[in-house]
Amino acid sequence: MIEEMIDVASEEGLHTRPANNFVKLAKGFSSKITIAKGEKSASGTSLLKIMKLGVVQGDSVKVTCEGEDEAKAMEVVRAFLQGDASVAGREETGS
Amino acid sequence: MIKGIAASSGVGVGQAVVMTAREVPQGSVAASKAGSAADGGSPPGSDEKQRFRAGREIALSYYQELVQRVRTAASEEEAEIFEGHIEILGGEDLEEGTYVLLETDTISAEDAVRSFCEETAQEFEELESEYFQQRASDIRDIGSRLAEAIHFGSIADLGDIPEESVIVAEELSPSATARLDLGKVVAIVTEKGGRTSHAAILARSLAIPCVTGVPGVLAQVPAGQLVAVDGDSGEVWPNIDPRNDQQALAGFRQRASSSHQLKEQRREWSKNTPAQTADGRAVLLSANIGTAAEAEAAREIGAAGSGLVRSEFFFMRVKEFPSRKQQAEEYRKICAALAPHTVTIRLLDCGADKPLPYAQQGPEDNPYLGERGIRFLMNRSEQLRNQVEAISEVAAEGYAVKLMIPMVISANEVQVVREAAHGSVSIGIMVETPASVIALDRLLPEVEFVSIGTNDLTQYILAVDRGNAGVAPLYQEFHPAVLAAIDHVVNHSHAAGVPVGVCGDMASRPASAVALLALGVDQLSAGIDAIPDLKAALRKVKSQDLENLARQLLSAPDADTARKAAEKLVQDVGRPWE
Repeated sequence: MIEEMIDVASEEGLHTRPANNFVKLAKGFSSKITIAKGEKSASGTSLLKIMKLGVVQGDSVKVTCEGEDEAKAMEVVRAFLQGDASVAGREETGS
Repeated sequence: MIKGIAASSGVGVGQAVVMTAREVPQGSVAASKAGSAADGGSPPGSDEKQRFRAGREIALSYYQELVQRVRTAASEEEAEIFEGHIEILGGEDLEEGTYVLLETDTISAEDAVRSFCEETAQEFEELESEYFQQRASDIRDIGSRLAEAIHFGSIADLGDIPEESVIVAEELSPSATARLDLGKVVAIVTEKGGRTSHAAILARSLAIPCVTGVPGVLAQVPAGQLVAVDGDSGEVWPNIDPRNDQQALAGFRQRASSSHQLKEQRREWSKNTPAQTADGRAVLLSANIGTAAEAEAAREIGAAGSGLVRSEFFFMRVKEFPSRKQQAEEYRKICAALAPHTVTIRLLDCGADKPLPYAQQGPEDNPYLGERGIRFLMNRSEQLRNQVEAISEVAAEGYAVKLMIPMVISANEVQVVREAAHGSVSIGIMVETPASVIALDRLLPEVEFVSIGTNDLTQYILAVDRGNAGVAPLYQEFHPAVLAAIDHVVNHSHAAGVPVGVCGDMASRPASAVALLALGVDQLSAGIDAIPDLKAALRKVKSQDLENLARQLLSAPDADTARKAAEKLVQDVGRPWE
C-alpha cells in the first residue's frame, strides 16, 4: 500500500465532471484507490462519496493505492489531480 | 372551443403533448412487505428492491438519451455533467443507501430513493464551497426522476416528442423549453401567462403559433389528443375526433398550411429585401435575441446581426451561474450564427421583473430602482469578471462582438467593466436611466457606442410603471419628454462621434421605428418577428419625409400629435410578400 498527500491544482477541483473522470480512471486499475480530505474519505470508484468530500482547487488530499498496479495508479492519480486532465482520457482508451 | 390570449400568430394542428409535473405520491407503503412477512419467504424489502432496479434501468436509459441529445444540441461540457449523473444513478452509493432504508423500514422504493437523495442533498448543502452546495438540487432531481421511473415505469420526456406536437402546459419555464425539441412543435398552449410570458416571446421569435392564458386547458386535453390552435384569434379546439370531425380537421390543416406558407413567404421576402428607405438610404436593422436558436431565426429573416443579446436568457436556462467557459461557448454559437454581422451582447440584466432563481436576491421594496442590471454584477465581482472575460474571449477569436452595459448611471461602472475586459472588446452602454441622459457627456468619453433602451427610459422619465393597469395609458413613448431625451442623446453622441442604437420596443413598431430614424438614430434592433413589417415600412418613406417628421415630433404639443404624425407615414404599408 502506498500513500501520498497531493495538492489539487486543477481549476475545477473535483466538480461533477472531473470527479466522474476520476472515477473512470480509478476503475481502470485493479488497485483499490481511496481519496481523503480531512476526516472524510471516499472510495475512488464512488462518485457520490467523492463529491461529498467537496474537493476544490488548492485543497490537500490524501490518496491511498493498494494492489498490484499501485505505483502506476498513484502516478496517474497524481497527474490528474495536479491538473493534467489528459491522463483520464489516456487511461480510458489505453487500458 | 376555449378562448385564450392570442400570443403568436398562425394556426397549428397536432398531437397534444401535456407537460405536467407528475407527482409521485408520498408514503405509499410497500405492498410487498406485508406479503413477504406473511409467507415468511423473501428477505425484507426484496420486492421493493426489484422495483428499484427496474426503475433504475428506465432512468439510466433516459439519462443516456439525454446525454446524446445534449451533446448534439448544447455542449460537450453539459453532456459530461449528465454523464456524471448517470454514474451517480448507477453507482454503488445510491443502491446501498436505498437498500439499507428498504431493509430497516416499511417504505416503498420511491420513498426510499427520495429519502436517500434528500439526505445526501442536505449533506451537500453543508459543504463549504458554493459549487458543491448547489449540487444538492442535482441530487434531488436525480431522486425525483428515479422515483418517477419506479412509480410510472417511464420519465416524462420533453425532447422525445412526436413530429407535429402541440405543447400544452401550465406555464413554460426556460429550463423546460431548453429541453424541448422545438423543431417538432407546431403550436404552444399554456394555461397561465399573457402576451409577454416566456412561452409567448419564444413562440413569436420562432414563428410558432401560441395561445396563452387558456383557462382549464390542462384538464380538458388528454395527452395524444388531436388539438387545433389559432394564434390569431386565441382559440383552442381541445378535442378533435379525426373520424367524426373530418371536415373541421381538413379546414384546420388547410389553414395551418396556408398560415405556414404565408409565414415562409414573409420570411423569404424579408431575407431577400435590404432594409432601406424608398430613396435608397440603407438602415442598419438588427434583431433582439436571447438564444442561439433565435440567432438562427434572426439570420433567416434577414436581420443584420443583433443589437441586443439578452444574456439573461442563458442564465435563466441553467441552474447556477454558468462558468466563463460555458458562457463563451454559448456566445460563440450566437456569433457564428450571425457572422459576419455584429452581435451586441448585453451583460446579465436580471433583477426586477427578471429574477434569477439561484441568485438569492432578497425581496426589494422597489425592485425597478434596486439591484438590477450592472448594479447586480458590481456586487458580484466574480460573475462580472466571468461574463466580461467570456465575451472578450469570443471577441479575441475574431467574431464581431460588442459588449453592452445595462442600467448605467456613472462612468465608474463602465471603467470597472473595461478593466475586466483588458481592452479587447468594444464597449457601450444602454441609455435607460434619466441620469445617463442628463449626464451623458460624462459617459461618452468612456464608450464606443450607446443604445437607448426605450422601455425603461420611458418608464423612468415618466415615472409610470407600464405593468400597472391603473397608469398604463400614461405610458407614452411619444411623450414630448421621451422624444426630447432621445433627441438629446442623438445630438450629444453624434457630436462626440459615438453611434446611437435603439433596442427597446419602439424599434419594433413601424411608426415609432420611423420616428427614431427621423430623430437620427443609427441602428434599430427589433423583435425577430417585427423585421419584415419594418422593412416593408421603410420602403414607404423618403429621407425628406423623415426630415419633416423630425420637426413635427420635436414641436408636437403632446404625445398623441407626435404619434399620429409618425403613423401617417406608415399607414399604407400593406404586405408586399403576399
